[in-house]
Amino acid sequence: MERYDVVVIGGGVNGLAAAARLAQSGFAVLVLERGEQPEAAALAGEIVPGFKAPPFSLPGGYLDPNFVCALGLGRHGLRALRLDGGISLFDDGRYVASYTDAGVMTREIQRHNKRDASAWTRFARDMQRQARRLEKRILEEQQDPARRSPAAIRKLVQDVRALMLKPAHELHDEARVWLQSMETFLDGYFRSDHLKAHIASAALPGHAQGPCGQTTAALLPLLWIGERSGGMPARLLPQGGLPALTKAIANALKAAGGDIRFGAEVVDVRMEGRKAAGVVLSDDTEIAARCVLSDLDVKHSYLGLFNWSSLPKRYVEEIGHFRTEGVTAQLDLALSSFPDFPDLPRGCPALAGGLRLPGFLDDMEWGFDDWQDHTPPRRPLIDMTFPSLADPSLAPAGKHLASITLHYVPYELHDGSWSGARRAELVQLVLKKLETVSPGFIERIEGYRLALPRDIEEETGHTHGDPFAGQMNLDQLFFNRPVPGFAAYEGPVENFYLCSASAHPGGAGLGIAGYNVAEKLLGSLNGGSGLFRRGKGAAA
Amino acid sequence: MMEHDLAYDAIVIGAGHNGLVAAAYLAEAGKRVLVLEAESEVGGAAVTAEIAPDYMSSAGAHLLYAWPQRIEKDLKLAKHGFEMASRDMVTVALDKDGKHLVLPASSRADIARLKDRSPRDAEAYGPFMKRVQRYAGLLQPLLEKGLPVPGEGAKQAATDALSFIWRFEKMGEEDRQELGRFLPASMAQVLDRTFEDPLLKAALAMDATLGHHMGPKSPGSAYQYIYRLAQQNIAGGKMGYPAGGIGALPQALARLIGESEGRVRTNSQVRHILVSDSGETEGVVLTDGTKFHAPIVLSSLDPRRTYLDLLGAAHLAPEQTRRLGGWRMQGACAKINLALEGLPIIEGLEEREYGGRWLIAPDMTAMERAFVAAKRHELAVEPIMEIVLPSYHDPRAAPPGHHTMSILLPHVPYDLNGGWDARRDEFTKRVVDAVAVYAPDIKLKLIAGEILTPPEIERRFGVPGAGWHQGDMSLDQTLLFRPGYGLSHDDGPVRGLYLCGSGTHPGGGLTGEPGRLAAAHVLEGGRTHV
Repeated sequence: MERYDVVVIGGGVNGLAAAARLAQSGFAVLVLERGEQPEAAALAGEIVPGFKAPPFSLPGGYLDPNFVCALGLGRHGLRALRLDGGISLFDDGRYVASYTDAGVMTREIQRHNKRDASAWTRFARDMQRQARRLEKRILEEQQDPARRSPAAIRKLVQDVRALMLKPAHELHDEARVWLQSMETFLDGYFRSDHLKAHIASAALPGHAQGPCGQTTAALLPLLWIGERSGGMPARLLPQGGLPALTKAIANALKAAGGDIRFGAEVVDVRMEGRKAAGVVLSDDTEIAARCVLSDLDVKHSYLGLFNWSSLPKRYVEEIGHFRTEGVTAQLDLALSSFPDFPDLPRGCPALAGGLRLPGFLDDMEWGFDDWQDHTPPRRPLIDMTFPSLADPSLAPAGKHLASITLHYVPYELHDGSWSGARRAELVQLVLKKLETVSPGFIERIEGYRLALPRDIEEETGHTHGDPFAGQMNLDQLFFNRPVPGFAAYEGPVENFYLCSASAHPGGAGLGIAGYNVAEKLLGSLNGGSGLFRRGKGAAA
Repeated sequence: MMEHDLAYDAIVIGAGHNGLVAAAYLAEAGKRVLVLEAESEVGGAAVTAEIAPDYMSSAGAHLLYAWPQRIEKDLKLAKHGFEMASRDMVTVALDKDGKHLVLPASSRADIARLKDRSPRDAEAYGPFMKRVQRYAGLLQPLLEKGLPVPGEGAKQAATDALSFIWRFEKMGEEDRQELGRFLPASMAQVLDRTFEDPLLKAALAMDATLGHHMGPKSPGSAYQYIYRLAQQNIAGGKMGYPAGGIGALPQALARLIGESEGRVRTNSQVRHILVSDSGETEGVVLTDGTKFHAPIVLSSLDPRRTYLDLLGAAHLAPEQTRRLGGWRMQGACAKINLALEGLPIIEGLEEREYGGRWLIAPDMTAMERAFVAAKRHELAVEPIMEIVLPSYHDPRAAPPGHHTMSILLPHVPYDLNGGWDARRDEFTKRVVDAVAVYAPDIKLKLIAGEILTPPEIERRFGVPGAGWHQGDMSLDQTLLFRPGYGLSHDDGPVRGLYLCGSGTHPGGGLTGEPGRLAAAHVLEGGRTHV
């Protein structure tokens, strides 16, 4: 039987990141990926010949520079793009563009409301402050605040004391971003409905929440993680999309001596007593390992790989209740030429960051209510990017690819299924909307591909096609992710770790969950109590 | 001597239940108190009014769901003619097929009903109630006394925080873990995890959403449930109905004040609060120019009207103005009161359950849809209701054999598409039709009725936006944040001005607690003034 130090189930960004980190520290690591070679999969996804369909991109997945450096991804071919901009276009012909530069952003807001321009400084400062706090937390293993030790109680007492000694308005300032709705929170700064919708629509995609629900303001600072300029945050994306990132990490893994096996589906976890000791593949091959990491979402990891009766009853129930939701669909369009947008100034640089047709906050809330009611979207939030602008190799010369994330698309409908007619209706709805802001848009279409949440589920393996492998509401974040009491990447099975986005910090950073698990195993997070302690230690 | 030359110790603006409770406590402590009420009668939203000649109903609020017996005892309200007609009302969740649920399911018969609908739920009910009661127990001490004002050097704050930690620690690990997820969650999440019977879930979710701008699926609604439980526990855990209707309560309080050295003056609308050069309250001016002087002013109006309209933005820091600008008062309700020729007959309902608080909310989906309709300024297709029969408790409310029915409707939009004037009848008909599903004979027995739309509730009871709580009871507007930001008792913008209405801690509902706490604060903390 083959033996490894660590076997990782699933070759997603997190799984590969954990593997690469461990391999770089000298461990024998094997990644088992169910799918075929990622490059091959990307090629197969052509919409029409010559147009490469971008894979399902995680909305706003943040790429942490520390993470990129620690794994040495630059050396392994990763090029990150800082996509400045993003424009929201409204039915009344007005638009708001994003700029990372504080001065330019302020002038942009001034076109809408003078007072809002001065409020922007306050807003951007508050967002950066919150984001900096989050940055620290997402790279930390989460301590269970309920479990008790004298040290934990001392820390709690200190924290509460410090909190109570703060002036009331500071306390409120800090609490409101966690407690308020996005609408209330933004109302506290701005008057322009266009600006509010622009900001909210940048933060909402992927989340099963409307802008008027309480605690939704907490999604805003996520955008600002890693952002140091005073404008709207830029999107930091790997050139070539997610596959390029996966490829770079895989290269780093291979360079450090780790193995990846494609077409290898894990069907069972080998147990020695109550400890995980390896995996069994679908062709009955057994592989032994000192520990097993799972990059599947928490439901697939535990409910799929273990006998339910062998897990604690409460844990099984909790995982069953872990909320995964399909909220986004993807519509990729092959265009014969770049579309015109008469309402936008010619050559507007912010278009590189994409174009959104968000409607106002009420429309988004309406879209969310429809989604919650399992009604086919009547007012989807349309978020369109043109990947071929940044990477011309994706489309034939002169032609373009538009990739649209449709937000508030339900996984299931209350009255039947997503039939062919229903799908076509959705596409028509979106195209009609696009035609109104860009005359001649429909004529340019050479082909399209629509992926609904169920299609995304099939392709990515995420339950319900949830882009974050579990919703990012406050009750499923930090020490509650994935379930209370098991936030430190460990479940009830010894030597079996969860390293997917179902674990902390979820979709708040690409590959961070995997990286954190590796750090935990290396023992550098909790001062030497790691599973494998070697003289070599952490390489970072 | 003219009346306005009389020196008062304190002036209370507004004779709603909270204003009167505050004034009564001050009067009991021997202070000379003047209560100023803009309307011609006392009570605010707590009044008994005629629907038609000889038919009386509680016009606004219609139930004492969290009225503390402590206040009754402290103020010896019985001596002033206040008595409860019923002290132990149950909640009856009406079922279309006559399999009604009775909550709290404490007796064996009630549990049997629960079991009849779902054996699994009957088993889960006890442990669930115990858990939420433990959470309510964590909150309760915070509601029972004034909250510490955070800030440098606030020793009391740190001590209170430690006692909170102690209670938190005592709960046990599983409870602590669950709590972190419970507070930001929606009631639907919590209930779907625990129960299967749609009617039971809807009945429990009703307590989380009634009067709030929230549906069962709104994040933060689980917190509202805990909050209401804590309020009820402070009150002794029982719902009740006073003899003579809700209006009997403010009447008794007003009598108490009148019998002391205090005075209640109606038809007296305050125009603004007088502030001395040294930044302390001096008294108030009425709209007719009459001035009254006192070193202490308590306002039972909402924070926004108190500070922005009566005090004036000139006395506020920009931060305070901003906070008040963002103060949300949503959650509009409507009220329909009906006069009936006899008891409406509901199949499967037992005799004592006619005296209960009926809920018409078949499932959480219907509730959520009603909330969504309200968000879109529309009427719900299936209206959600809380119903009480005042005449059942108080025979004087209707001629013998006849009855009155009081219907409270949450999730009714303040701004209705098409306007309320054009759609009043449509709304009333929709509601009566919905009641008739359960009580088919209601249309035959209907003699008269009145409807109070949200704009009318706002006008008649002086509650802005027709929200009953003078400010949403959301996570960011309760406890330290009610109203917070240098607007609470100790750190308000001017010395001597206190809030004593629902817009201040511990918030809305017919509890009298904000009034009691404000008075206690004036009597203890306000040493320098009184």
